[in-house]
Amino acid sequence: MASDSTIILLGERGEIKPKPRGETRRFSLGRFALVTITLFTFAFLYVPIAVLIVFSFNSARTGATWQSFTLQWYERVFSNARILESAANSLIVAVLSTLGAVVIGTLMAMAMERYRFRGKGVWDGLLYLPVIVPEIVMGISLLIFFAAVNISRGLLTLVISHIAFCMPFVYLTMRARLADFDRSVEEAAQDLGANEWVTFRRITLPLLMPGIISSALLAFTLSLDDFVISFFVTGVGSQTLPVYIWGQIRRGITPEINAISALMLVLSIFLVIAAQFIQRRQRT
Amino acid sequence: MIQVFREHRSLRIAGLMGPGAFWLVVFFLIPLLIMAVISFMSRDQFGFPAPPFTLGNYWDVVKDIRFNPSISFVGGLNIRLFDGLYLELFWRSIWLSLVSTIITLLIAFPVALFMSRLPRGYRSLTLFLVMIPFWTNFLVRTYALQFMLRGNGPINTLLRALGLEPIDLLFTPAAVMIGLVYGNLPFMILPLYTSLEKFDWTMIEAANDLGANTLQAFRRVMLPLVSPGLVAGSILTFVPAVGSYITVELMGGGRTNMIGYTIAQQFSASVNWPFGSALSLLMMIIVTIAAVLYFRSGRGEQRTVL
Amino acid sequence: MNRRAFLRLGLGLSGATALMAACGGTTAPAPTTAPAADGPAPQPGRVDAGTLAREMSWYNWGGYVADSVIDKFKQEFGVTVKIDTYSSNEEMEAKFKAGGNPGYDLITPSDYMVSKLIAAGLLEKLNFANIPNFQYIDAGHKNLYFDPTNEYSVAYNWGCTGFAYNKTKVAEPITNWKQVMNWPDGLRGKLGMIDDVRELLAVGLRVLGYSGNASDPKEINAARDALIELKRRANYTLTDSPNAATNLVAGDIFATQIYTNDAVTARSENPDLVYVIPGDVSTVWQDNLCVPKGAPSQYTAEVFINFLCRTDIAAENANAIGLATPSAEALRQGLIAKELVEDKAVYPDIAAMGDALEFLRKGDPEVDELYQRAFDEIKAA
Repeated sequence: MASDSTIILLGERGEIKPKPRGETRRFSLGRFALVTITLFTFAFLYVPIAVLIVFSFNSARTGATWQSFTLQWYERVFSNARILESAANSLIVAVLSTLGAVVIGTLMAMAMERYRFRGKGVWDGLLYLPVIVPEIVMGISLLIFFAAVNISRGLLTLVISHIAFCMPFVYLTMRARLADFDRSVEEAAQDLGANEWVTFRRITLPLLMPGIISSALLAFTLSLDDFVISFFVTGVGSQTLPVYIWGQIRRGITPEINAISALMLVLSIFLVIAAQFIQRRQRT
Repeated sequence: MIQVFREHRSLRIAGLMGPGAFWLVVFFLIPLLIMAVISFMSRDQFGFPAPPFTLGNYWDVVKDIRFNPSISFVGGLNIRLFDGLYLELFWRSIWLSLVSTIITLLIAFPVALFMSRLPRGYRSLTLFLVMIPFWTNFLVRTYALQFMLRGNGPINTLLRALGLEPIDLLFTPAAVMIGLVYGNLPFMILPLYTSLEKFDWTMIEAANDLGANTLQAFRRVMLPLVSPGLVAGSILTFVPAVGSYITVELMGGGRTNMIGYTIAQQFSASVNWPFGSALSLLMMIIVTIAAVLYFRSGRGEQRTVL
Repeated sequence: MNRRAFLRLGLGLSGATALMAACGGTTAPAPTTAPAADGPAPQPGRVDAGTLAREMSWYNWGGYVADSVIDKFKQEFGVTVKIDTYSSNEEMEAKFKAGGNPGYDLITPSDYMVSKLIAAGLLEKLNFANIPNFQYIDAGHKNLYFDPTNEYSVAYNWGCTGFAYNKTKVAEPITNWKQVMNWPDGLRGKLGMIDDVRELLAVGLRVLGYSGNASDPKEINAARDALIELKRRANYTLTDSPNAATNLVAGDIFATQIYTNDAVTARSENPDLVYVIPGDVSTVWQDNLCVPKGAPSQYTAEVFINFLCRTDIAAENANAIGLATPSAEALRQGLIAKELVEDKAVYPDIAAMGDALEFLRKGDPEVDELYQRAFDEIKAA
């Protein structure tokens, strides 16, 4: 994995050309530093992942030393219905709550950025709270709440809760994107006869896209990785993968868990490539 | 439908705010209020909340705080005016989070800058490259990081191969910092990138033309314009770090304590929900104040956040 | 399955499991399948297939049952056992307390948690007429303090909290906790303790001659001070037991407080590791099968409990997960892997050890608070 990213980034190096106007010239001294820091950062991010993948082929159980190559952990993953079910639950919940959080969070960020209204400051403050609340508190309080209003626990409660804790992350990222958003472009489009929907689709959305991609990635990652809140709001048979793994830790992290993690990684990458592919095709 | 929305401003606001506001109130605020109520309750024979209402849980947090100025050099210069178990925990957690946020920022900024300057087609690719490592599992990742730092792990093996002395990294404060920075990086890089990506570089040129040097241009022109991303990223890394404990636990070998750990303990090993709720609420208040102070300092003009 | 057990323990268990498989069919002591009875109430010891649910849910510790056992139950009774997992008693308790039983038929609480759940009215009384194989459970694992008349629980697994060390790194054999508390200065930073309030403080208490269940603040604080002093000197790590096993195998620590099952795993990967149950009082614990209030199909759960107590199944399960079984019959018939049975650290002689083994009785909020505070102070030191 590490070498892949290295190659891509090295390939990039030559392609950062000074723009015609020459505004990067004065920054060129820093360019070497930028590339170096970026390379080191990516190495930092990927080497442990490489270790994890290597260890999913290790026959030793504790993961402290290398013994010998084996595929048995992958065999075990594929014969373990619970692991596969949890992984599927995780992906379903992550996709649904990403969609939910991105839509809701973006709408809210637009309202907050574009309009002045009563109670705006209060909402602004409130939107930070979910980031601040300790996960365990949010998990238990949501559980008490779901029990009180008699919503039976399962994928639904998981998605609801995940949207709740992902939304602020989307909101914050989108606010950063929307700040200083040049509304004259939208107005120009409308002056040229585009209706509001067309303006949104053709002008606003593409301009917001980098923000939407970033926040969707954040939400997807947060949802996929959460276990404290998920632990409390899952019902019978709807455990997500992190909850399953958390349940195993009293018996130690086994290479089987490394194997499913590696598989999830591959599957997520595949999902994202597929999403990008679809997006590209829609655009053309 | 669309027509109606177009014509009524307040309806439009309601349409945009509605779903989020509903979600926030119903699935976040109400549960949180339940927790707040619990923090004023006593506990029953099992440690679960029960009447009567009391301020005792809050008193338990502050009752041992004493004025006791001290200076020590354990792990750097330590100056303390007050002494108290939970005060110390709060202070330590905030300090550790602050340091890790600053380190994360120092690493993330150049990376985000680099990413934002790539040709358009490659930008989102690098975004994915930042996130991909986090699609494995948190615990599994932390165990892998642990392995990296082990006495016989890859880093020390490399050092030995180079004929250098191996270093004891695992279970040290440095290991905790590495763990926190690792987990925080994407949450800093992404908002920063989002801000930087739309930065208009001709502004720098203009500043330079007006006689500003690079540093001045950065400080006066770039920083104010990218600060929404900077502030968002700092909050997204600083705040969760205060409550984090599993990273601290695994990387630090449990040699230090964090407030997040103590809170989790109140809901698990030593069942005392009211006290745990009180600690959580205090943590939220303190973190909010710390965040406001940290982010307001030096940028009073910042209107976007907090 | 055989291969899995072998791999998991890393020991030559295949012989034992083969033996077990060979005996499996003939040693089944109780009738396992029975034609569906027409009567509404099932006969004792006979299984009423008509009353059996097609599916049941077990809220269990992770990795705490052999997959093959679940498969066999499905084969013989047509019931699918779905398993969700937790990693601490209190997590499970919190879930039931805050939201009620989400729909589990069976849970596996440890000793002290059984008494807490009984007191909170969260457990169903078991109908032992449906669990005739309970007779094969060793008397030493029945009627214990947490369920004195044994109406709510059936022993499932048990083990101890002992001490493991690398004999090539630690100069003299360790046999008691006093030696641990006098950790040599030369091995600073190489000692591990379990990150559990009660397990940690129990060591301090016992070395000072107190009970691991002390409730006197003076005793608890004395233990705290001793452990703070040890921390200053030895700078021990505080991690969960499986992580301690990994740290020990990797060589980052040379010795650690550890649970039996983790010690067995660690030892299988490094033959230099020695596991002992220190004689100056160690913790013993027992995990139990219980039916939570509101279980959708209690009868099916009881049939399953009976199945788990069947001698061949109990042996198969114990060999696979590497913990001590309470099934006296499985031990008597020699169905448990020799490597485990002959290891006095895995199967300590309860009778011979007497008071040297002690259950940790948690659950009194006042006392728990004292312990938690002391623990926080140790961690902050």
